[in-house]
This record gives sequence, C-alpha cells and structure tokens, in this order.
Amino acid sequence: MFLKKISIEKFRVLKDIYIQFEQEFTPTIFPLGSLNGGGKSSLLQLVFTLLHCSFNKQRHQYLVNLLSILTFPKRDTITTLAKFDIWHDDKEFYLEFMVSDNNFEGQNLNLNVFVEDVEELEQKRLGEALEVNHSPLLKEEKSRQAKIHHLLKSKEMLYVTHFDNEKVLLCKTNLDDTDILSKMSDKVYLAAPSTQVFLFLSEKEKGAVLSRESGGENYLGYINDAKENLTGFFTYDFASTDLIIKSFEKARDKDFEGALEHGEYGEHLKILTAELNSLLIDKTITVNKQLSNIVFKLENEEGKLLPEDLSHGELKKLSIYIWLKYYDIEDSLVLMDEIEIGLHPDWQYEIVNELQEWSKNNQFILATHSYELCQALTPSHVKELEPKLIKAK
Amino acid sequence: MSLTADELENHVKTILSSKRIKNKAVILCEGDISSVKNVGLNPTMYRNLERKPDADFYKACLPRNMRKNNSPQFFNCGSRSDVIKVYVQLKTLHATNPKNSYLDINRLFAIIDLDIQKANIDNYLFQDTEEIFYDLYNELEINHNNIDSHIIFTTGLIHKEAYFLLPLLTDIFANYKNRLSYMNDEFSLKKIYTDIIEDIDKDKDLSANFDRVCNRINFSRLNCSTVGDLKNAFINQFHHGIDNRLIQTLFLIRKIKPYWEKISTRENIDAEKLREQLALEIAKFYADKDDDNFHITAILKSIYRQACR
Repeated sequence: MFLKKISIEKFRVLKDIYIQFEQEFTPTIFPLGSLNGGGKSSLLQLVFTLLHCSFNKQRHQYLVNLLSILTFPKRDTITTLAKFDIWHDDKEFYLEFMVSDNNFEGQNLNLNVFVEDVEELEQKRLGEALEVNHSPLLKEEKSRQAKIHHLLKSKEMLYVTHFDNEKVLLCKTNLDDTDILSKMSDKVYLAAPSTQVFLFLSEKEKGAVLSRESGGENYLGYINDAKENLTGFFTYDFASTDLIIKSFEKARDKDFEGALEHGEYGEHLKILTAELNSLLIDKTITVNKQLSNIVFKLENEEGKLLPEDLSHGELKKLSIYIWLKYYDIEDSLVLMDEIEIGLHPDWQYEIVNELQEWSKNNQFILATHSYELCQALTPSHVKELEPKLIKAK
Repeated sequence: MSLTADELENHVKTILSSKRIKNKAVILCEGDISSVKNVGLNPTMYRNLERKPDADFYKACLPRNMRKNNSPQFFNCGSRSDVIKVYVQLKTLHATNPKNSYLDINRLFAIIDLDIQKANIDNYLFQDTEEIFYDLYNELEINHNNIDSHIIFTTGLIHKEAYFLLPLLTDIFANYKNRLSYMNDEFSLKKIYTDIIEDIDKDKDLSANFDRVCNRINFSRLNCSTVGDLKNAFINQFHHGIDNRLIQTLFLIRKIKPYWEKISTRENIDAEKLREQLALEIAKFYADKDDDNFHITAILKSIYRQACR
C-alpha cells in the first residue's frame, strides 16, 4: 500500500493541506515537520482513523468518536473532510471522505439499521437450517437501503457510517472493486507515545487524561482497550513486554511444529534471540521459563538487570522492532508520531536506517521535530505543514 | 567560489560554538556552507536546503558501530582550499580561548578531494595534498601502516564522486528501484567508462597537469608519453573487459562528476533528486560492507580510532 497524496480542507488546525508522497523515492520514509501545535499528530490520527476504521464495522465507534469533535454546517451541505490518492494491490484510486446530513438528494440516508445484522440475529435465533422469515418492516427497510446504496453507487459513493444522529460519513471513490478496501484498512498502522491524546477515543476516555480521580491510570486503560480493537494501533510502551513474550512463544511454537513435521527443531527461537540482542548494547534478552517475564542480562555476566538499569532509548527501539516483526508489517502505511523521543541524536539518525532494515517495503510517515532524523534522508523526502498566515483584523 | 574572509570567520565561530561537537570527532568536508547552522535545526530547515549537504555522504558511509554512539560530526566548509583554511583557523581560534570552544583539538579532522591540481597546506605534516596522497595510499590501496598518523585525508581517487561509479556498485545500479538512464539511454557502466576514456584528450586540466597525472598512475605501466598515447592505452586495456583496477586508475585522473550528472530515470522523479537518493544508497552499501579496503571506510575508521584514544 502507498499513500500518494493527502488533501485536507479543514480538520482542527489543519487547513488547505496538500501533501504528496513520491512512490519512486528511495527509501519510502517521509519525515513530516511543523511547529508545535502545527497539526502533525492530528493529521496522522485523521489519516489513521479514516483509513483504518472506515471499512471495518467493528472499528466504526472510533471513527464516530473522531467525527463527533467536529462541527459541520447545519443543513443540505456536503463537506469534504479529506481526500487520499492511494496505490494498493496494483490499483491506483482515490478516496474522498465527505460528511453529509441525512437528507441526500431527497433520500433519508439513515442506514443505521444494519439489515445484515438483523438477519444474522434472526438466523442465530432460528437455527441455521431454517430460512429466515423476514418481517414486512425488515423487507421494506432492506429495499429502501438497497435503493440508497444504488443511488450512492451511481455517484461513486459509499456509505461509511452515521454519527451525531443526523450526520453521515460518505466516501467517494473511483474504485470498481470496493472489496479491497477492507484489506487495505488492515495495512494502515499508527504508532505514537501513550502520552498522546488520541482523537479517536470518546470524550469520556480523553477526559481521563485531565481527571484527578482517575490519576491518568484509566487513560492508559482506555488506550489498551483501543489497542485491542484497533489492530493497527500501537504505543511506544516501556518494553512491550507482552509482544516480546508472545514473539518468543510464536518462535518456540514454530520450532516445535518443525520438529513434528521434519523431526528437527527449527531455529526461529535462536534467530529471534539473536535479532533482539543485536539491538541491545552489551546486554542480552530472554524470557523466564514460565514465559511471564522478560529477563535482561549484561553480556558475559551472571545476574539479571533491574528495570531501572535499562536505557529508555534501547527499549523503545526494541519495542518498535518487535511490533513490526510480530505483526509482520509489510507493504503497509506506517504512521509514526514523535519516534525520536527518548533517542539520542545519533540514534535519531540511525532509526531511519533501522526502519528500512526491519521492514523494507513499508511507507513510513514520521511526524518529527528531529533534524538528525531528516539528515538520514534527502531534503526532498521531508514534508512540512506550513504555518498559515493569520490575517490582520 | 571561495569563502570571503568574513564568511570563513563566521563559519569557524559557528563550528566552535556548536554544542553537538562536544566530545566528538569533527570532520571538515567540501561543500556549500549554507546548510551549516548552529541553532534552530529542525525538519523545515533541512527541507529548505536546495540539495543534500555533501558532507552527509560521508556521514551515511559510517559503519554501523560508529553511528551508534559518539558519531563524528561533519561540516561542509566550502571548496577544498576553504576546508584547509577552516582547519587552520579553527586551530588558531580555539587556541586563543579554549574555554569558549566545544572543540577538542585532538579530534579535529578533514577529508578533501585529491583533485588534479595540488593544494598547499602550511604548518602541517605534509606540504600539500599530493604528499598526503602518496603517504596515505600505496598505488590504489590504503596504506594501513600510515593511516592513523593522518589528520587531513585526501580521497584515494580524484573526487568523492569517483566512489559513486565503481564497478563494485554494479548490483546497486541493476537492482535500483527506478530504472536508470545514462544520457537518456539505457544505463550502462561500460558506456560511462567508455565516454570517460574517450574524453581523456578533451580534458584541459589533465593536459595541463600531465606530469602529475603520469606520476599518479606510474604503477599501471600505461603508455604516458602523450595524452593521446594515454588515451589509447586505456582504450586497449578496456577492450579486455571491465577491470576494477583499471577503472580506479582512470578515476585517479579523470573527473567523474560530469558523467554522474548525466544519470537520470524515465520514472517520475527529478534527476537531481534521483542522484541524491542513489548516492545515499551507495553510501549505505559502503557502510554495510564495512570493508577496511574501501578508502572511505578506512578513513572513517581511522578517524574514529584516533578520536577514541
């Protein structure tokens, strides 16, 4: 997947944004700079939420959360939110996300009753062998919805979701086969510090950041919930303990499968350990026998290291590496916010080379303030959200 | 064009007051100084550069272990003679008030092009660039016995760009993401080498410095009686196939940049941007190979060793 162009008419501080990413460039890593508050994080989150959540019904709530913070003109208008030019599966197409009110060319666009869901429920209730006996109301709704879909299709539009009772998110596209959109949405990833406020969380969840009662603890809980539901979402946590242990489990299982199939254990565990160790300086990593804890040791020395002895930067690199490897993130769009935090300037430069090595075929968009990171690329790789001039009153 | 006295002085002051050089090796290189700033370095500034600073090529050539910690700091310093002047002035200005400088004088180095003309250096171990070259290299190979005594290094080929077109990079060009062209035709190293050889007798600098040229490639036993004879000798040798040694010999005396600048692509990418990105791939090749026999790698490793003493 490759995101070739982004245009955003208006979203929070972003206004009239147009950014082009060149597919021909080597490497396909693009730093994105702006002043503080210039909208880098908003842009990454908007791109992620629209592309990762729009074509997967289970993720719609996060899309609705994001849309609900915006205000749109009241009646009879269609507002373009963002337009993307995308290359995926050897096809080039655009996706233009627009917000409309319910009344679209005289039709009530409310498609909140998901006919398929009702059918599924009926089927479950009656047992799969029995044919569903549709109620007249359901039949009527089904026919109405089919008409609306037909109308939208004639205008190259897709219904995405409803929000705020009377608004609809539509997506205009020149793509013939819209089935690929669901697959495409699984190729979109966002990594960010967990201290970031995520716009796709609900008001209540975001409010937890500033709430004395929750002490910030709940906010992390909400982020973890979001990570459960949004497979493409990742935060740079202390050591990504869970992912590292899961990776060891996965490697162990693969070795065992090899033993069952060919009579010999494979080398997955050995390779994983060596790869992880290569990211550490004078340290080694393993997991305990119960697979419940990561254990760090100094190279060639007995005794394990305490958490406070570990370098934040080292652990951050480790967690990014394990995230890319565990989820096998390839041919994807990877949006990363402030990757440089916690990394020494030398490492900020180096992380660009490492991303290239760890997953060669991805497009990375790195929202950053780091000059050193940019230096590992060419000036034309760097994109910018330019500050808009404020008109004098 | 050389820096004015004011530009030179300001540049020297910028380097001395750069906090990023503290406890690190400083490497002065050729290249436009407009990219060198001391404060407010951010992505916007980098994006606004017309092209990637020349010094960045050397930075990208650093072997991995040298990039992880205490990575040397590279500074563009103008032309080759400017680099030498900056080196001298840095030492002088630092000595006048060491407390006001982040520079560690024992960690100050320079890498300059050998070029076809020689450049004199006052009060240094060697009188000029040619002397450095003969001490640092043994024919086409790095002289590993002497390398750690050098502070100002010359390239072992005529210019930095000569390292962009060596035969050992064949796979880089063949496997590059964008299909390359040379003079709007199919890319071919052989064609480039042929053109470089064919143009030997059109190179005025080469003719004007012919004695120096012949001395440099004396080891090759190519007929150096006249420029025409030398050209024919290269043509004859080249008929036997692309030989790495022959091409390196050629790259000791012929400027490569004009030919490098004829590389482009039919893909939708500006030729200059393409070459910048290609140079970055080439630097990555040298960095990943980490081979002490490569001139640039050997120089960078020597600097790192000396700086860590």
